[in-house]
Amino acid sequence: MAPDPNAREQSLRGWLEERFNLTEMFSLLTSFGLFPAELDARRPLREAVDEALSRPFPSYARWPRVLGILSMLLFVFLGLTGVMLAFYYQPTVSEGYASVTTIVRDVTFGSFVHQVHGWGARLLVLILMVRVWRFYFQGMYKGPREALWVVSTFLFLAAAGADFTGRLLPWDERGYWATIRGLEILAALPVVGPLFGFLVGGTNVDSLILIRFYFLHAAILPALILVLFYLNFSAVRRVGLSASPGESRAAAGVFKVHLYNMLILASLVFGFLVTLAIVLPSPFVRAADPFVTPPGVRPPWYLLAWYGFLESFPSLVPRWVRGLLLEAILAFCILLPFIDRSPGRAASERRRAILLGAVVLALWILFTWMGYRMEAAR
Amino acid sequence: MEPQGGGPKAPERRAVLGWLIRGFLSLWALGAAAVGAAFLKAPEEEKRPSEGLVRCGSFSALAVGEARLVRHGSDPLFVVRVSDTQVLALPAVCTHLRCILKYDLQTQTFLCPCHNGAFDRNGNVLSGPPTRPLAPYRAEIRADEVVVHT
Repeated sequence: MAPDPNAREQSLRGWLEERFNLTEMFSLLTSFGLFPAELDARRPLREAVDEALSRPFPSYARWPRVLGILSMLLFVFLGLTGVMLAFYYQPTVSEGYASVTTIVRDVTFGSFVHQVHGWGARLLVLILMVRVWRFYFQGMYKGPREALWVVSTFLFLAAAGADFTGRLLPWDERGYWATIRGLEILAALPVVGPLFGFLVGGTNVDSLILIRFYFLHAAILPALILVLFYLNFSAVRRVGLSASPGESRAAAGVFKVHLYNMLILASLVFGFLVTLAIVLPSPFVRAADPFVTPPGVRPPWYLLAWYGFLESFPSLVPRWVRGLLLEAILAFCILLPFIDRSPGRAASERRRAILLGAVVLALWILFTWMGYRMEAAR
Repeated sequence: MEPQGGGPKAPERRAVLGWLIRGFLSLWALGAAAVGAAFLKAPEEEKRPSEGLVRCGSFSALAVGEARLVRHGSDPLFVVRVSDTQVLALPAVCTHLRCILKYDLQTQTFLCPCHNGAFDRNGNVLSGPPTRPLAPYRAEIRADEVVVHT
């Protein structure tokens, strides 16, 4: 055998390979969509990966299938920056604002990490929402993808929950009052509202709710999101990528192309986030004062439509009825694949469904605008 | 292994045992869920008699018709001097969406900065989105100090 320049590295891998099944460990990534090809766990890692790279594989790191993997990449990125922030953050009423001030002002690159984490969260929620809309308009909730639809809607809800709980943590003026506004919206929902209030320890925004929000934000919801991503990608592997109506399957390349696409995607996302964080930093102005409501307090953007919806009724309609209506709409969205059972996916076969979707989307935008205007007037 | 010669009753007995086991296991699950839920329920803050009293400053320093915002816990309150001898204590939190109210001395009303809700000096809704009035606290004057029972 000719002397190998990588002999040392190879021997380390060989040493490990005798003690662990590296291929099996590496194939964990398969379940999270990061390395989506099947690996043969009986073969050594290098061999199995090489074999997988040359297999034909339709890339989903390109439009319009990009949204799932994009949200996974963002989630990984948020996890990393979140851990970085957790090294300095203290989840108490007295120290919360001060510790974030330390991160933003004194820690090297602290402000950058803080901003990038915030923008990443906004982008994640937005992408998961766009993904659900795309699934709807392309009829992708239909069999055998019902489970994928349900998982996707829960992914959006869980990500929105993680965003909502994260906003309170800096204990600044905006986050504090946005949380109060959001909690009032949730309190209007029968059953879900009291259950949520019970889980976070009431609707008074105090130290108890802060520590519970912190734990939800940093442990429970990320774990839930990870499980949902796992379910999402295993459903995708089981039922296969869907060809959009009218798309030919001939365009599939090899797996290596997909990995390159993913690399390009990751760098684009990172570049976009860095740009946003630098060009449009979100304000971090003043510590929360429970005795002064600042002007222009709004709930987070994804709750604005709910807020506009709840508040636009005449006061004759009791709040719990409005809340019940909202819950019915949400339940309808989640259970959609079991309500609309018609098989056709082509746009020509589901004119009415597309019209309904367009109307709902228009109403959503209208209510978001109304929720926004409710505070902008003064 | 199925015991030999168990007769026709054996599968039935097995089914009953199976249900008993499931029953006991679900009791465990129920108990565990109850413990979990009871633990999550935050304890009520126990109040000593003196803690229910909020000292709201001098009575004579307030002119008639004037109000003072008292910062207390997470629910601040207003004390309003209504006459030579009487004060009123009202929560300073709007009943609509929990914004902190402001007192307008000219009109003697409480105004909400968020959605223009307005309450009169006694806490009744005058206009705007709130539907419930402000529920007054019991207030008294002890040696020129306004004391509010919360």
